Amino acid sequence: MSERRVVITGMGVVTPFGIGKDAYCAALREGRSAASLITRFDASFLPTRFAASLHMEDEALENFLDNPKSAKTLSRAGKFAMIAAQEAVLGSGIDFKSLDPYRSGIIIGNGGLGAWDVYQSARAAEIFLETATGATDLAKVDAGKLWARFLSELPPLTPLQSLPNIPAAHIAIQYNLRGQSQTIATACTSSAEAIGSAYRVVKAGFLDVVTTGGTDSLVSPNGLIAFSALGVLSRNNNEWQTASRPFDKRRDGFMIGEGAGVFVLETFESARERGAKILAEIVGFGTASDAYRLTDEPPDAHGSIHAMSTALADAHIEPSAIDYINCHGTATRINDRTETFAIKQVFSTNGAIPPPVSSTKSMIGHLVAAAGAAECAACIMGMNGDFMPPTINYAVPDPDCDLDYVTEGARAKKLEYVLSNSFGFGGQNAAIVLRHA
Amino acid sequence: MSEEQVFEIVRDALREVLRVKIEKLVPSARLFSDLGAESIDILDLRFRLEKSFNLKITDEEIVASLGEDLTNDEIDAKFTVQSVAEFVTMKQKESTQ
Repeated sequence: MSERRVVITGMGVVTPFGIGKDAYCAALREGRSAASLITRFDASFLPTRFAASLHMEDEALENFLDNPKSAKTLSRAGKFAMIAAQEAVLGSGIDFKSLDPYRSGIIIGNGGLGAWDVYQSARAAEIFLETATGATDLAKVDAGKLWARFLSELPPLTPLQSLPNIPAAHIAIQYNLRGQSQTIATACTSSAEAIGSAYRVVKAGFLDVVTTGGTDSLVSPNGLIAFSALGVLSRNNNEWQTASRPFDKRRDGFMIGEGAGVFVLETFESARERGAKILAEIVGFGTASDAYRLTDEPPDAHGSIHAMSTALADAHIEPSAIDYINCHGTATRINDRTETFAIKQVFSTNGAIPPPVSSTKSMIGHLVAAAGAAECAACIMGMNGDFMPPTINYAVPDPDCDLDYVTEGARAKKLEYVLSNSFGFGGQNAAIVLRHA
Repeated sequence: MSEEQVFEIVRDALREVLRVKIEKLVPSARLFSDLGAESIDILDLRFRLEKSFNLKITDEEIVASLGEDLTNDEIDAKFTVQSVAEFVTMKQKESTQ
């Protein structure tokens, strides 16, 4: 099969700034923060009490679903994915009914930690307390009785909300996508890997149209507990408004966020034939595993270097062609230092100066399995709006982080080629190269 | 509890289960063909009926109440909003005996 050009003709997002592209694009351009104190549940017990939350309850999200019944089996993250998919498909102008359904597919990145949400956590706690009444220590709680109560009290469709592939399944049902349906779970690289896989599938000719992206929602008790336990969240509650500080010497971890980004990918030829507006072209994808340690990045950054280098090679461009890099930029001490090092290794060859880079996580926080999708969307908005989204909250330089981080606010610039990095626990590294349409 | 009261509670449960407008939940509406139900919705319905009427219902019981050895088409034809209300009424009588 000959290689085909792959373009993005539809884009939908749910971000902490709200539902839809317009709210997100305006915030990126203005360099606004989505940080807020957590109000969806009592966070007073947590070491981190702020996040980039979408201030919309699940019941309100349901009003945005074209198929209201899907709400019962979609987690909060699943609802995000479906709402973003609806925006992407509508915007693409594609009519799936007119296509061979077996030539259309879906590849979505999703987490899973967030599926057991605020309400289920609260109900589980109630059941536990009721069952454990009278027991003076944990060992005396009747475990059989406890599990029996869970069985009889928890709604039977709850397990489906927890399955990571259900968002993809619902999107496939809604649009009759009968080709490959895949869900990729590689932590913080999930959606970048999904988009990269979708690009390869269309490029190689296995499918003609793929809906792709990712979703996650970890602004929940278990999400906050999990990342607090791993020690990766900022605990700067006193300065929560500006605590997400990628590349700043004062950084102390990331701010958790939530949302989704979904894209419609098709061939350049099909987009041109149907007169669709092309938002961007995907020209390169690189992926590599550190095969080193679970959560440490190797000091020589071989995985991220390989991912960026192979993405550039796939795009058939020199490093100097890249106008802007959207970093993984989590604001953990190790990521920002290692990513800076890796970018210099790839982009400083022969004395060249690396392009400007920024971390949009400074504004929207870390969307985890949705991070790569939200960041690709930021790149596309930047390319089509002639600006680089900034790294906000930056004030104190770190000698180990010495790139141009676009800290003065959004920077006006025509962008031809951009690169987006995503790295994840487990050692996955992914880089996507996009070209202005 | 009167049959009218049972019907109203069943209808409210079905509205939650199937997320359809209440006007569609007429007694003769078929759960699968007219209202878009799928098998997981019957699990959901069972759960909600158990809570609303304080009954114990097994997974198979609701469909089994429609008759023995039915084909899928026969189940579809007989499985209506009214049949669910009648099933609940029958279960209530059983549990008070």
